[in-house]
Amino acid sequence: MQRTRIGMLLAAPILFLAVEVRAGQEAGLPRLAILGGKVLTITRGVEEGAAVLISEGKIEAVVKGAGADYTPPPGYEVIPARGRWILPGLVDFHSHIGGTDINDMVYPLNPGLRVLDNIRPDNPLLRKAVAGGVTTILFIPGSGTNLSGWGALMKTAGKTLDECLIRFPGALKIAQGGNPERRGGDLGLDKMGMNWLIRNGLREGKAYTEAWDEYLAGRRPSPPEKNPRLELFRGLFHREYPVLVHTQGYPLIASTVRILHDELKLWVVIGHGTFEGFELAPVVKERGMTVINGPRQFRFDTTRSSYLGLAERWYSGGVKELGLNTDAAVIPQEELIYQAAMAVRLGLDPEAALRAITIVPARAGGIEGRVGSIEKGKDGDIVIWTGDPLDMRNYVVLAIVNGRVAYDIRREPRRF
Amino acid sequence: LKVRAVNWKWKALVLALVIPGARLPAGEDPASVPVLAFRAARILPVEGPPVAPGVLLVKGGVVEKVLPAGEKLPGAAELVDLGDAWLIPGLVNPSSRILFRSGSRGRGSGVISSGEASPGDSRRTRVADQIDPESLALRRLGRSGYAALAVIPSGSQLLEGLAAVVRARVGDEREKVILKEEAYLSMAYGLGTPLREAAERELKKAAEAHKKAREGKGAGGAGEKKASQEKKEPAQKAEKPEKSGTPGEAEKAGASRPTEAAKAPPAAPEKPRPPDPLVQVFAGKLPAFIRVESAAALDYLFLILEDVPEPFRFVLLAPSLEPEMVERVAARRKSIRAVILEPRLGQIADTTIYYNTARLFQEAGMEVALTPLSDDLEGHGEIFYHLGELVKSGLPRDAALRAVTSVPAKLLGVDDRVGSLLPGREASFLVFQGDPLRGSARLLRVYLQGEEVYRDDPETGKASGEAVR
Repeated sequence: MQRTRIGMLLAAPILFLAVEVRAGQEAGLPRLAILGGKVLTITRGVEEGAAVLISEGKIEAVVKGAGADYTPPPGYEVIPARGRWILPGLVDFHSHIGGTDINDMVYPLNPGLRVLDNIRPDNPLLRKAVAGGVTTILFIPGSGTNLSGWGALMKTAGKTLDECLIRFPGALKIAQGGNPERRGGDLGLDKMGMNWLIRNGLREGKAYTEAWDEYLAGRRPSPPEKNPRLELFRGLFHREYPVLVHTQGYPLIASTVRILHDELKLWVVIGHGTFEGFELAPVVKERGMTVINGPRQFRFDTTRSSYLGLAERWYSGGVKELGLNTDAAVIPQEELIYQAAMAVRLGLDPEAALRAITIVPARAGGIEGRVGSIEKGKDGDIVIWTGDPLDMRNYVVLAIVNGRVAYDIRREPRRF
Repeated sequence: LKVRAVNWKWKALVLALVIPGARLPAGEDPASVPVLAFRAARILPVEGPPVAPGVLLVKGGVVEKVLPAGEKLPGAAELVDLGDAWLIPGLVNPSSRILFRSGSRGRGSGVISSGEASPGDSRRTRVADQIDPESLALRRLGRSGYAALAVIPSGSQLLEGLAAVVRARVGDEREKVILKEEAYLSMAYGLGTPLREAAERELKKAAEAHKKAREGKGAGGAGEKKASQEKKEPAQKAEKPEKSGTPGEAEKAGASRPTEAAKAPPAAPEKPRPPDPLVQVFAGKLPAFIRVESAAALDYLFLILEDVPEPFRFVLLAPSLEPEMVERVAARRKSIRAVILEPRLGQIADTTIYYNTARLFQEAGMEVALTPLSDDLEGHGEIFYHLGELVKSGLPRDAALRAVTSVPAKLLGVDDRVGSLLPGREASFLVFQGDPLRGSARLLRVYLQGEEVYRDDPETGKASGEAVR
């Protein structure tokens, strides 16, 4: 008992690798009061006419029934929003637009690579993302190799890395098949060789983690040799952050579940989940795993000669932790809302579709305490729409990120 | 053969029993044809004001009329209550290459055109001769909401051939599928010297031929058909010396013809060749659609047209054009009947400035039709997202709906059959869960000529799969 506790104390310093940045702590942040809108809190229902107060970069309060004529405390700038729809900033758990150079394909597995060094805050694609209501993304490396490196959870607004970073590592990126097959020659071209590579690489990381655990628990006299290439695996195997897996179709998803979840006991988020992958919904549901479906939203079922909505299939198959992605820039980041609209058109419940681009991806990354809904204490990420965002004709008029106005349609050229 | 005949009869029996709205053979007692009354929360006939709530009366697969829901229905009408749904006419695509023979999802090379007079010239290729009425692509297209589409030959050449308008339905008879055999001459123009030379040569030649025919007709006063035949021959003779100068297929084809003719027995009188489609365009007897690959190509096309001695009208298919180019096109509206665009916003390079070409043309008073962004089943199914986007950036909703229904129907000359819910039009319509321009509104049912071909049940989440058969 005593030993374990000491071990945990000793383990604390290794968290220096998992940087958690708190936003909005600098002075001079505005105090904002959004009045008279229809507030979709996502987690606590719809509040018609509630006032949303923002200060110190955080949501300070949601005042129910306040109405458009509510008088906020002194010092608050009033943002009138009568007739508008107020939503939390949207979250996309699969994006490649946070910076550049996302596919360094020297080795088949690249645990030494991280996007952190390539983030380009306030880039043009991010600005468009904000204008489309997307305020949080998981910026990950591409799927050119089986293990392409470590992604970052970040805001789409902010001038510096410190301002926009939420957490690094956001997630590890593994591509279990598909795109890495184009690379070829590492160990054959197909899934048996790839799964061998992935297993082998992860076992190396696991052994490294266990060696350090043993040392920190006092069961090993000398520390293992430090290996920067493997260092981030320690947080991964301690389930401090997930692995986002590029996996689709029945055989690949089955091996994701079996190898990464059941065997290696990782915190696994199913990345694309497309094609006939939804047939595994009962298996995925049983394990409480999250699916972030997309960017493909439909499957043409040749036996039934019919289009199936993939999100609807997963959801009705029991996977309620269902998110949607754009895989931006495969689909432009600002079109995340279109993904939700398309899922609805193909049968997904509209409320589930809105959760799929807010709270579900937030939980997938373990940052639901900061983003994904309008609740007291969360980050001040609020987006004001002209109406129901699932109606394609509506658009964003104002986006607030970390308590600051990041997009205002009156000041910037209209994007959409 | 026997099996097939039985199958056909069985199908006909099922059709007659199950689908009361199916078109009945001519000569049937009109009183015995059942009337169906589709009641919906909102009916958008597109041509004419919305009726909300309304009733669409359908008899024998044809629209009788649209009534306000309160009005008395004909006694025998059978009511189909569509609840909160919205109802709009089936869509019309004015230019598609969706594949007929290989592949079920409509990807591929499309109808093959054959080279004829010169490189890039297959003007006599008729898509109507190559329609496969059993095509899976056609069968599956109906569920995307399209009721009719004009199919053009494949390739991207100056004179592509003659587009046919087909219904997005499957019948075992070609006649049921084809709505119009020769809807227009499909042309394409892009950058490059060979194409420019060919365009200059062929347009001038056809213009001269038309001029000669017109002048000849004016003097002689002969019957139209005879005149056109007479004019044909010298025109063709005149072609030959020019052709021999051009290398390629044309030369070979031209060279082989006389030998064949010499061998053939002289007895059978030669069937007169149908008139040259391009000359027909100049005569105003055949519409022309010209697709330009870029704004630059359009610029060159304007230059070429300035030197063509006779005017002709055409429909322009263009990519997103910047405001200045829209003005230049609008200034030529005497010769440009309408524009067909892809439903996307353009962006001025290296800026965040977007422009909505459809809106610009609409504001300039020109007719706008829109085609799906990708020419496959998915693209056709996604058209309402893109319409929603255009409406979001300022295209009036009525213009957006007309651009995929009545405007293309008019350009194809089939607006008496499809493209609206005016009386006498085919009862091909779509049932949406709410306003289709939301984009996220679910397509609940599709009717083609009064026949339900698709149903998506929101209660069970089940789509009616093979119902399109």
